[in-house]
Amino acid sequence: MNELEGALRELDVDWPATPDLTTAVMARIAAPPALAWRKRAAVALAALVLAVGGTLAVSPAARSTVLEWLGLKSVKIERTQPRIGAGLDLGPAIALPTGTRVPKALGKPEAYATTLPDGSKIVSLVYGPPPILVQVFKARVTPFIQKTVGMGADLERVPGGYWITGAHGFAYESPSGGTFEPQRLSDKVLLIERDGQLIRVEGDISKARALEIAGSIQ
Amino acid sequence: MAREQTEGELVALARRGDGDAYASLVRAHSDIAFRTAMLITQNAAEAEDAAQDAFVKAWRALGRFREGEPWRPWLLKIVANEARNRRRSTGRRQALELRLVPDGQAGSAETAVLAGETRSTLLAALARLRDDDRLVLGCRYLLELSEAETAAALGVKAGTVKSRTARALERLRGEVTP
Repeated sequence: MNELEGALRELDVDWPATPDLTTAVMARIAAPPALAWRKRAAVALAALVLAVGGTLAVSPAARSTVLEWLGLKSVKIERTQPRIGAGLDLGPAIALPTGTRVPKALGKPEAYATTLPDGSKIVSLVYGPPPILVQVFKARVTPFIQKTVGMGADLERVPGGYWITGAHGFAYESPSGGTFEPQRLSDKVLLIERDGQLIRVEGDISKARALEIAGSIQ
Repeated sequence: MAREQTEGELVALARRGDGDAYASLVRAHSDIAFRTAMLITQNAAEAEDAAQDAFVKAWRALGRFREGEPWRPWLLKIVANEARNRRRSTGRRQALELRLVPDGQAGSAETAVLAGETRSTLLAALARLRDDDRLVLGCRYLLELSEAETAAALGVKAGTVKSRTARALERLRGEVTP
């Protein structure tokens, strides 16, 4: 190393103080990416409040998620248990109920009793690794998916549904009115509408694999 | 007490959507991200915005990160891209805002030998260099990035970093030699 390089290395630069990037970044990550989406979600939440007589008749965990996605609550991220289902607000682990529709393309799932933001109860299936979330519930997304998925995500039409990549949430219409689901597990989700049911396959997997999984649900 | 998680473990958790793990990564890399952006934008406010945008984009792109590889070069590439975009969009050409730690605060014997005036002259000469010379020397000697990290930040090959560094050192020598 020559003298000049040595002198450069010894320059003690008085860098400006590094700002608190962590708080700002985490707030942006947790917030929905587009104002339009936020407004839509707020409308959906208002409809939900009206539907249940002025109170949020959902689980505290689900309500917390709703409020975080609306930017109405300061974001607090905690990792309390390593089990993926618990950390994702999927509800308590249960034995797989007889008759549950499962994808034949995957092995044996862990099952969770999930209360959706609209109060309906479903069985969430978690596979892995890599972790994959599979849910089937009565809903449809087509009327507003284009406008509600958020600017941070890319929406691609696939046969019978949508392949979404990027940070996302999606509004959907359920028997009790408009509501929405935040991203739970991964930036990639496949939504397929079939026979009045919405199939959700979310995980860090390829589109082809997600389609294969959704197609194998019996 | 639980052992501290490695960077690889934090990245793996973050890829699965663990915000807590990602917050740890942001905290650990805030300094280097901000300073790299500072070197490129030459402005603290622009650097803060660029670093913040880069961390948000990195989170969204985590699915494309190849696990097992070092995370810092991958991140710095995103940071540098954001910083360059900001610099292009603002279109301003500013002098490097960096200052030296005042004499007496610097620690090593070598630093003490370098008179304050000489050090200021060197920093001023560095600031006068053309962009690619200033950036490669800033990355290598002020930020102490490795050749691989510098290559990622500048978007060039490692071999280019080596040749560009040698060329920039010659030009700097010309600036400080009477």
